[in-house]
Amino acid sequence: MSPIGKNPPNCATPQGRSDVSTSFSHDDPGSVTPTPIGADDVGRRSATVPAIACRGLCKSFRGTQVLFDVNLAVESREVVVIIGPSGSGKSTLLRCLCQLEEIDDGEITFEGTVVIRRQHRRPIARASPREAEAMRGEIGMVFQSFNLFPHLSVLRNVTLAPKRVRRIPDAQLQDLALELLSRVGLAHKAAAYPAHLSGGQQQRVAIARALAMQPRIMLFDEVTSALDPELVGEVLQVMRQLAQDGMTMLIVTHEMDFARQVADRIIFMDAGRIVEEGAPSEIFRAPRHERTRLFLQRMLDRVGTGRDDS
Amino acid sequence: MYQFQFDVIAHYFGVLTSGIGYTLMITVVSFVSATVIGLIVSQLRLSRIPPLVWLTSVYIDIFRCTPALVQIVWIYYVLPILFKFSLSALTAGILALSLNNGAFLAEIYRAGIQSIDPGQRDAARVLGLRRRETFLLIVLPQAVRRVLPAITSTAISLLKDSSLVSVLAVGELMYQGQTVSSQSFRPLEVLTFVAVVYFILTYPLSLLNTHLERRYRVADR
Repeated sequence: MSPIGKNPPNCATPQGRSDVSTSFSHDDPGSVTPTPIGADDVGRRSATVPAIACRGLCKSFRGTQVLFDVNLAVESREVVVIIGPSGSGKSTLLRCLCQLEEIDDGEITFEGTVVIRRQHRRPIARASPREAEAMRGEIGMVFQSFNLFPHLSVLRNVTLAPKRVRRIPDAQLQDLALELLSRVGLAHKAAAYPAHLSGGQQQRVAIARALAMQPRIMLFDEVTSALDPELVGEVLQVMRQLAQDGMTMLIVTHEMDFARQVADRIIFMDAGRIVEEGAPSEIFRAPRHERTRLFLQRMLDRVGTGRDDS
Repeated sequence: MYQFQFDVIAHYFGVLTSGIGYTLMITVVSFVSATVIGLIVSQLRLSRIPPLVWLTSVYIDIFRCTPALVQIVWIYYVLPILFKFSLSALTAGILALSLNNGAFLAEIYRAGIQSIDPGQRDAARVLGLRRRETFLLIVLPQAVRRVLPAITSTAISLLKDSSLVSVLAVGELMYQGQTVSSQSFRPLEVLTFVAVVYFILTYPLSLLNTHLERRYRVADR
């Protein structure tokens, strides 16, 4: 058994190993000294471990590989924005991180605890089902298509998981939900059903629902892509506020102005690989890669002819 | 012109009422067990475990593609001989109706469950709900609402099909109707009464369906 960090994962093709494929954020100890494989580091926590991280992550669907050797670490209180053309694997990456997809190869850790580690398509370490359930509750996720529960009122959408998973008593649930709903400006819609809300309102409820589990990190998967243009701003405003409040966030978005404003770090993905990453000023002003430059050019053209919601 | 004399109904009212009781009992028991069978079978069928998928589709095909009357008679007369056990006529009738309607309900539930957007399951799982909670609290309630008209139709046919059990001399409404007809020589009155009673029993189910659909529509769309 050898550390994943030392050996190139078997799923990564040689030409796919771009110059940043092993770049973790600089203060990540994992990129310097690979963690030894074994049960000893399961459950290990320290002040410097990233909130969520993956190494050598590979994922394919029915023989088509969509993620190649992805390395990523999001530090606590950091806001990381992933940009890239559609089909570049951004959403799949988020789905892998919150355990909605089984990975083929690589490792995912949550606050230093191994969620899953697979090598040569075989599991080497994984959290117990109980741990995995617990970690799922710690990672909030907001989807492009809202996915509110249509048969439950807004209030019950928000309270369902804390009630069932966290066993919070009913008396506190009501207050918790109303506080969260007022944070997203929708306390007055508590009794409404999702179908009676606009898309922007539904997405804000979805954010409140995720926050109700008091997650340690929030993942946002193109949360404004399904919205009418005039409703995008209200959702981005809620996310901006969250970022200001110090929430750890990993965001996939096509809203470039928003990305520039809110991100501590931008990651550009293309064809299942992280092509480059850096501070928003670097990426937007002086992208190092031709592919990044082309993508940003196309997005800029779109904004030029379309909307500007900042 | 035939002179209807409905006083015959009053005369045999006790027998006919006990028939109604049996009809309702057979229907309720069969529907409850068919619901349980249907839910379990639909889950097995969606399990993606090949032998289970195969077994459940064989069950569904056999019971959907043979007449309920044949199934009732076969289970009562043939099954006990094949497996050397005894079965009362009532039990055989309920068993046959449960299996028959279970097959139909399994397909209805499967269609309903499959029609739910996978995003619903994703959202529930990400919130930390367990598989069972996700199914019982998120998927099933939405699926049932969507297939409610089909479930109602099954319940209505089941109530009417319970009359088939009369061939096993179980004293339900149809059997008592036939008995009373031949004893009283008044089949026109008795059988008309029986028909009206079946309508009175099934029509509320139809109304209930409309009522529930209207109630759920407020929330759903």
